[in-house]
Amino acid sequence: MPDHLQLIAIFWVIAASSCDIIGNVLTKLSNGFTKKRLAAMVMVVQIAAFVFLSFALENIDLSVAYALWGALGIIVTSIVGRVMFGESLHPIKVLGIAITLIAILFLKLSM
Amino acid sequence: MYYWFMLFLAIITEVASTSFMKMASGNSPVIGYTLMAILISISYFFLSQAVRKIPLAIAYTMWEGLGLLLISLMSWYFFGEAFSTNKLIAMALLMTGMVLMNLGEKLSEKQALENEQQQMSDKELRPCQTTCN
Repeated sequence: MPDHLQLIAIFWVIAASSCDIIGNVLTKLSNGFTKKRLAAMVMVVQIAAFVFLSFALENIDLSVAYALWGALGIIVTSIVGRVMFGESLHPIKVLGIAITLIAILFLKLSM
Repeated sequence: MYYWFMLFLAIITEVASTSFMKMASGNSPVIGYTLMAILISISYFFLSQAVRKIPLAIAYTMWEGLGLLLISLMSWYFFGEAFSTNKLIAMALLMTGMVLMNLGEKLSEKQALENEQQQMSDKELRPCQTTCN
């Protein structure tokens, strides 16, 4: 059972990951950084993501934080890609993303 | 191809920035963090070019996956970190996943194209369907 310090750390990882995902969506919307305001916002949320991650590292291992971050990023970015940009979800593509996700979790947790 | 090259550059600069992060936590934090911030900005610029054409889900997963693969290879080449059997299996799994993901994307693109052509030929066969009734 994680104690409450670890729960707080997990909250910071989720906050960091959310910033990262928002950054990805803004990157897509910025149309190759031609929309300067969006490009600047990407930088701000990415820096925020790193700051939040550093808060999390006070109470959990870097490998766990990175693994959680990576997994959340991939799952939510895929869903957002589908919902906001109408990206395809072919069964083989979903399978590929799932396998990649498992491998990333495994590699990061063993670091 | 241009967009894939951009994605590749984004991944390389991201991996490089992670290396500077290690330097930042070492003996020269100011230089380390500055270089890291610059490289991350460059990396996002390349990513923004790549996602003009490449789906976000694919770009992000490739970024994570290839980045990790590159870091593993670098720590093996430069720091002599050994590959355990588990690690090799995970890396093989990672590559399989990335290939499948891209294959699935190609298949759905092909499907979309075929659907479009089907609709076109349907229109040619029944030009009066909407106008003549």
